[in-house]
Amino acid sequence: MLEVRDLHVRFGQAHILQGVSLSIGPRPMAIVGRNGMGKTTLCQAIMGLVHATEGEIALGGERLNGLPPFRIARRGIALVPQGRRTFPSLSVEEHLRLVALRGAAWTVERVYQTFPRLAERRRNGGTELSGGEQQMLAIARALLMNPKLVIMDEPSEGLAPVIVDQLIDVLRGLSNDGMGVLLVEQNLRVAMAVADEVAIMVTGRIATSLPAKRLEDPELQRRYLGVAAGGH
Amino acid sequence: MRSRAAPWSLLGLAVLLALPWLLPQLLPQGQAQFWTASILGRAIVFGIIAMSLTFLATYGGFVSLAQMMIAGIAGYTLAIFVEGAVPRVVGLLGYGAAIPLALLAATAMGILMGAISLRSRDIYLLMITLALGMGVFRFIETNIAWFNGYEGIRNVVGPSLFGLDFRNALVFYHAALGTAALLYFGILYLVKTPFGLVLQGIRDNPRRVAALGYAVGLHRIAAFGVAGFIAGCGGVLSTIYNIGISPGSIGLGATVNILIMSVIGGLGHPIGAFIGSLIFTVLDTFAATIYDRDRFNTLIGLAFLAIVLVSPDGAIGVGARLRRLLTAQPRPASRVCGEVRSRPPSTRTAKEEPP
Repeated sequence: MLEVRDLHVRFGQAHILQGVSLSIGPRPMAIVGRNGMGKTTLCQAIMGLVHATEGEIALGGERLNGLPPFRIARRGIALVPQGRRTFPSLSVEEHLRLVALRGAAWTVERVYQTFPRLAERRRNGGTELSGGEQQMLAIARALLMNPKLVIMDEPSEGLAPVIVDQLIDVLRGLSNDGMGVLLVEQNLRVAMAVADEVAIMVTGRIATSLPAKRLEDPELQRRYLGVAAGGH
Repeated sequence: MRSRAAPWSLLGLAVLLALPWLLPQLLPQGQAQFWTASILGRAIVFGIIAMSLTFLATYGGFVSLAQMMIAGIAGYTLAIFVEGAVPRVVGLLGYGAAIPLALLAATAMGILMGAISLRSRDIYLLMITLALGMGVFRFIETNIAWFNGYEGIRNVVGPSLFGLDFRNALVFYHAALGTAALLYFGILYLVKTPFGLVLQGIRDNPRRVAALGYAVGLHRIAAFGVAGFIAGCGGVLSTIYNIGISPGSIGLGATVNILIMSVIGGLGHPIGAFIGSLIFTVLDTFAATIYDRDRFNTLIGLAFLAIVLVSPDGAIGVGARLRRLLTAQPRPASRVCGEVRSRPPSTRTAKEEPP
């Protein structure tokens, strides 16, 4: 679905992405890595929000490099950004109406069925919601674009464990419906629960890519991430 | 607040409609007419121009100082093309054709301003629109062939609609009020449409709107076009009100007056423009009679200073503050109009995704 080949991003002297190559198919994929490894930059480069100096990004065989973000969005990639980024001056309902398309698979009604909590809060402003509600809203906003691929940048950040479990169910459901899912996470548990394949990012490169099951090995976790799942 | 705005506005509109009949009951005949024509009529006309700025600032976060100039473009287009204006420049069209042409010119000028200032924001947007406004002002002031230079063009008396003459103060008052009401409710409707929602999204976070699949630049230019049309309506009315137009009416003083009206009224809701223009017009008219004739500007300045100090979100913020005080409700986080809206754009954009 999405092909990323030898992608480089530089901010002045800083070489953030140093040749990232990825191939995302129909099965959900996760990227994990410590802070400052370039995960968010990769999301933004795919979306066209930062300029890639070298390399290629293609969706379904069509090159995306150099397109403005709104064209990339219309080609079928939706980004759920880190920190939700809901609009303070729009209500929940207005957020959804902003992106809803007529006659598409995801409609405002379907969003309300999937996230009943949003229906209850439809008149509230985008920043009056709890963290979990904001995350649901950010995901709903992305789904209403009816994308081929949804990229989620740290969706579990700052959420209570019970909300994280709900989030895992939602993401799995999306993937079962045939939507491509690229999940960028620091939370190894979420990454392993959602994705079949996990890529590990270290200093601007994909160090390795493995089936999610193999990451249960604490030795591997220590080597690439310097952490052990459940050990903190 | 938002849902309650429309009924209150309708009530206000009803009061304004009834005023020309109410005032003569309360005041002597001469004073009643003076209030209708010189205070309320003038406040409504300038309120329309101020509302074009409020629209851009409230919903898009763009503070444009070119709006008075755009109103002037409409006024000059009308004066140049309409029959009977002195001196005659083109003077071939009736009001029925000249007014639409003037509105078209103002809309086109608005779109042009939006396109030129596309990549600037905050203080830089303010400066570039001010520079464009002053450039046009100087050009008009020194061009004799088209604009008759410093003198301007006179005798734009306005049309006669169904036997109702625009020189009749009541006819003019109701035409201005009707135009203002149409534009005002048009804006309230527009900001609920997807176009309006995108505009508010751009104010909160332009990058996010782009990532949702919207062309931010085109929406921005379209918003300036809408504001240009609104300013054009005000420009046509003010030209008819003044029976002509001269460069002074679009100079720096006039430009700043529009900004003052918008700010003291409040940049949180379009109604602020009309409240601001009413306060401004009343002070501007009566300051000289209640304070020393040579120093009346001091009084006007102090009054504006007091309003902005007491309520940073302008006169409409006072209402919200009083209501909170009386009902002793905790401060709502963001929905009260003028709270989030009137924050300077820089605090909003600072929250954008870091690269």
